[in-house]
Amino acid sequence: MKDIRILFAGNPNVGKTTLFNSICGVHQHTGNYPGVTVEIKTGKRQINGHSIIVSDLPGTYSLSAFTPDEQVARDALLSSGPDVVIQIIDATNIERNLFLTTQLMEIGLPMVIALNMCDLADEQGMTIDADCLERNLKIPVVRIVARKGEGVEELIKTIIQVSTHKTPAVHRAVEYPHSVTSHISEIGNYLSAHASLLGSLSPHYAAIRLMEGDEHLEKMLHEKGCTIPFIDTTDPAERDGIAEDILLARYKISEEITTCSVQCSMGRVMPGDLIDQVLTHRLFGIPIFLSCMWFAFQLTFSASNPFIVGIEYIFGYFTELMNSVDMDPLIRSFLSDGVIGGVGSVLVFVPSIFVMFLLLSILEDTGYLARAAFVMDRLMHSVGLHGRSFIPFLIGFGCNVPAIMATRTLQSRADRIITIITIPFMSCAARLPVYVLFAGVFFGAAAGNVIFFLYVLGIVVAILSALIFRRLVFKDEPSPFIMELPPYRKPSGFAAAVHMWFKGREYLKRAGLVIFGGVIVVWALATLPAGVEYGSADSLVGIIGQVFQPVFAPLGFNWQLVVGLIFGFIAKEVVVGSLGTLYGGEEMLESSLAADPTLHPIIALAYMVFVLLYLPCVAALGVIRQEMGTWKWTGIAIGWGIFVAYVFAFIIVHVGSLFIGA
Amino acid sequence: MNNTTYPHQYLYGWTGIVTLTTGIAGIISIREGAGIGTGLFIPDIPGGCILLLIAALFATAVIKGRTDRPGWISFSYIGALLLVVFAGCAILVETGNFLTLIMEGEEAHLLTIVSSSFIWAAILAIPLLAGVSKLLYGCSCGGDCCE
Ligand SMILES: Nc1nc2c(ncn2[C@@H]2O[C@H](COP(=O)(O)OP(=O)(O)OP(=O)(O)O)[C@@H](O)[C@H]2O)c(=O)[nH]1
Ligand SMILES: [Mg+2]
Repeated sequence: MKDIRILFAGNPNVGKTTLFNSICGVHQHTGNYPGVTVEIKTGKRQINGHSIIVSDLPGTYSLSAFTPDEQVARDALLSSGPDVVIQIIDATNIERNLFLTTQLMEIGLPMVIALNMCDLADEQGMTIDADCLERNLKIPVVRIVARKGEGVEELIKTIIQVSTHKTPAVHRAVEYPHSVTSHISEIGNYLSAHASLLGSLSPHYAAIRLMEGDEHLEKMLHEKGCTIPFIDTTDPAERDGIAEDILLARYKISEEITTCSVQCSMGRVMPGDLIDQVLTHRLFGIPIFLSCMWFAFQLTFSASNPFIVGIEYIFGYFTELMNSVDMDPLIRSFLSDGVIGGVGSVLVFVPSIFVMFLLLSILEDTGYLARAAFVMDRLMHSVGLHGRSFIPFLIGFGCNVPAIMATRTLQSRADRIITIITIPFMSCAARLPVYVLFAGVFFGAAAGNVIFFLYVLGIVVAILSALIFRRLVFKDEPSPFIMELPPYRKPSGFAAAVHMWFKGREYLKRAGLVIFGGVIVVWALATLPAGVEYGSADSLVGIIGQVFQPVFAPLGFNWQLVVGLIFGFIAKEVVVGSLGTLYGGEEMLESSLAADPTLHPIIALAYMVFVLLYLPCVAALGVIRQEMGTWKWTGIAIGWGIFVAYVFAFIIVHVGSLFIGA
Repeated sequence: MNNTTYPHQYLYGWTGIVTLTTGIAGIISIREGAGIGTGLFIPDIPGGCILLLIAALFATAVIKGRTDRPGWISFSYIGALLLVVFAGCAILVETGNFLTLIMEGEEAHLLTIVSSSFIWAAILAIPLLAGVSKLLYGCSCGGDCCE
């Protein structure tokens, strides 16, 4: 059997990735706001001897692409030549989604429509006549509920059926007025003579795209030396008029089909605009957002603490067990200092990470985060950040790497560069262990507040940095913020738990590879040269730490803390890992930190702030380089982070010691 | 749906009461945090500020309610929803703290779990949430509740 290559296309936030995950059994990120997926993800599913290769595309409202992520979707649809295109349609918002359908069906590829979120449509009292849709569009329609996997098997069956059809796909044609059709045939005739330039596009379709104002195609043809009739010979005003006629024809057919196939009755619809009036209120919007965050971090700290204590017990038990067994001192040190001390002290914080991902995922699914972005837009716009940057910021709370990639939803390059430079100030999950550890040891009951403060500080520094870069480097205004506010949806506890589990598992995997590696290096350096006292100032790691320590002396960091910072570059979890290794034994880490006379709350705070701000990890750095495209901006991003971290830590130590009089 | 049979005036009056109680709960939390309280409630200055914020939402609802019914509905709905959700969070936070203390072998009082002033304010807000959310969903069915 041959492979069936299918593409998932559709508007943003209609559940493409949810369906993709359900078909391919994977766990790509989903969330209730537009622009979650920014690059093509491909997966595979074997069924009845067919192997279906699925590509999940970024969402797009139309095929006239403006942002990098939309371009990716457009290119895949127009030039990758899939066997079937599946358009996922949000059943609660059919008319808007059909606009894209009118564009997709003209490509002339076989199509299937997956009518998703049928559960919500039912709840809202909408009756959708799928047969009527099917007849009108001449495209098979399958009802699904992607989140619960309902209808997915039938969808696959239909896909296989459609892909094995011998006859070419004929969908409903959009009825354009005569003024448009005459130009289409004029351009189409011209293009037929140059068909080789068009790749898989039909001349007729290419003509429509050109008249709709497809700049990519136009540029491509111009580069090949074509002079396109009408496009190159008519003045722009007339061309705009024609493009508008095409648009109207599309709206008309979408409206017609919606009217005949959707019936509304009374149902439970959350009147989003009423809620938005409060959540995006001029005065209340930001305080409400801050309160939600404050509770989120209180929970992250307090709700995970009992589990942390439990895990500490388990490690303590193993340490005792090991101490009672006779073994080579080197091996014992490896196990207790390296493995339990280093890796163990990172693993201990897994519960916090789990709780944080759970909360983030619930907030994401309700649609509230998109409102938060909207509220922050007013603030961010005034400092020269694009409001849409806030979505990458929020993703950055999980991990900076996907957050930096999420900047692809920004249109202007200046907006992207500024956002990428500021994303590393968003405190990712890997930094959380450092806070939970230090705040727990030095701030006791106020730990949750300290952690909240750090996250807010991250946002504030990001906004200040944006202000500075916008004033000094990119003097233009940020482009206007247009984001569709997603509908409010009840979060599914199950979906959130699944999300939490997979994110948490990723963290565990990292702990297994990168963190283990990093910690082992620290352990080896602490053991060498042979004969030296483990982890003492004379060991290699001690020497490295002491070489750099003078730089950090004004901040009051001892050499162990400095080693943590240096190796934290591999991954931020290694900060805690290497401290665990150096302070000897995981069980001891908290008490040894508390007992260290060179440390006190002010230094702990400065250290946490430094870790928050100083440097993205290697992985994030790689993505920054990839997305920026130049080393120059990558270097600026690194340098700026270190500079800001140093300044803030310095201020905290010196202002702080005025207060405590030390 | 007929407006006049709906006990709006009671709910509206209740919003006023909840405004007061939430505000008082906020002030108590802040006073406890500043060390001049009764010691019965958990000291929590940021939490107190959040309670005051929610009280401000309720107050806005009351003020709006005189002329703008949907405004009253949406502000009191969000206020009550936040209060109830936060109270749930407060219970979880205190349970977590309680368990941690127990596991570390320190002294802990079971009562601390319910001593957050959020919980007491939220209990009064539950009827408001129930009533107002009915009205809110009503607003989407052709808007008859919204005049
Ligand atoms: N109630 C309900 N919710 C759904 C369904 N399918 C998806 N969702 C939710 O809709 C939201 C958006 O889902 P995604 O899969 O991220 O949407 P997407 O189309 O990939 O979005 P982009 O990548 O931004 O284009 C998520 O919060 C899902 O949990 C469904 O069938 N029913
Ligand atoms: Mg997606």
